[in-house]
Amino acid sequence: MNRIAAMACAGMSFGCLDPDVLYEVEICGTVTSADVGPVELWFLHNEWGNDSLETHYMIIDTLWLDEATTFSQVLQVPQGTGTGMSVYGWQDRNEDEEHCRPGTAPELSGLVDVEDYPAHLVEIDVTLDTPCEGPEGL
Amino acid sequence: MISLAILLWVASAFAGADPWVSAAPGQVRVGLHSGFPWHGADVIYAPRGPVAVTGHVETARFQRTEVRAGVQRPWVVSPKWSVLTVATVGGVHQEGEVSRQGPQVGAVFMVTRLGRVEPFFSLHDRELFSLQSVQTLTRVGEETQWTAARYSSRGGSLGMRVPIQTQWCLNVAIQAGSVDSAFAIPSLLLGMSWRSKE
Repeated sequence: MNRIAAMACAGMSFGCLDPDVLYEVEICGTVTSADVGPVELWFLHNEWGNDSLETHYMIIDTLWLDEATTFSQVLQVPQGTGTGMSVYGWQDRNEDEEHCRPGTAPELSGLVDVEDYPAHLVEIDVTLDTPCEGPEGL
Repeated sequence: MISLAILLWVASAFAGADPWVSAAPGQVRVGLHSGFPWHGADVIYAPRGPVAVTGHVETARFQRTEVRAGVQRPWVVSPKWSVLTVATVGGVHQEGEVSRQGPQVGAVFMVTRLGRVEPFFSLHDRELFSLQSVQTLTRVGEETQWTAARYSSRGGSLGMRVPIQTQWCLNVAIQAGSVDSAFAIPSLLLGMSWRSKE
């Protein structure tokens, strides 16, 4: 397959692109919360894109946990314009799969910057202690 | 959109001359167009008979380049109407946040109202067979894989050709549809064509 693809690519008059590069990271840790309920984790680039496309906190992957507990996830992190890594979590206290929908009780959230990234194995602790905030507000 | 269609219909009421939709036997037609986001050039040559060979180069803001070669055939269905069918093969090279490359095949179906000005409507389908290498950096080393995917670019154009001399023609068109299976903002094209004497 690789040879066929490479030959087909080389056969084109305008050459081949550089490969898409993925950086594999095994990220594990513990989520702590004073509340109960499922937790959703967002694995994020701190910054992504150039010029007018530049944005904060671009999602790389997500993970649902049954409760605030330990976790382990292998990420394939696209390399390119993305820099840094953070993990955001929020707790779905009322299990409606919405974070702080109007008229419902506050739900906790938290954000941690993965300072050891880039590394293939990192460990973090995420504390959910701020009600109703997105990554930008934390 | 409706007002433009009405304008084209009114414009088409003028009596006809030779159609700009294709090249006559032995004739060469060269065109340039520019707009947002597409710029391009095309050449059409009919060695003999109604079937012509075509070449197209187009670029979208110099980030995506498409090169196509093909054959086309006009079908004059009445003194006022012509249908053009085109089949192409070529390639795509796109850089940037979303990169693409690979061979592409396409087809165009165009209806032209013949006259002193030529309103036209076309539909196109281009299928890109994308080949992309993915390099994964792991704890134990690097691993490279090739992935293949098919992307469809389908859409239509509405425009008008306005001959300004025997050998020169002004073209204007709007184009809408999808690029690589995703919605694309409509594009506006302004072009000029030249053809050799018959």
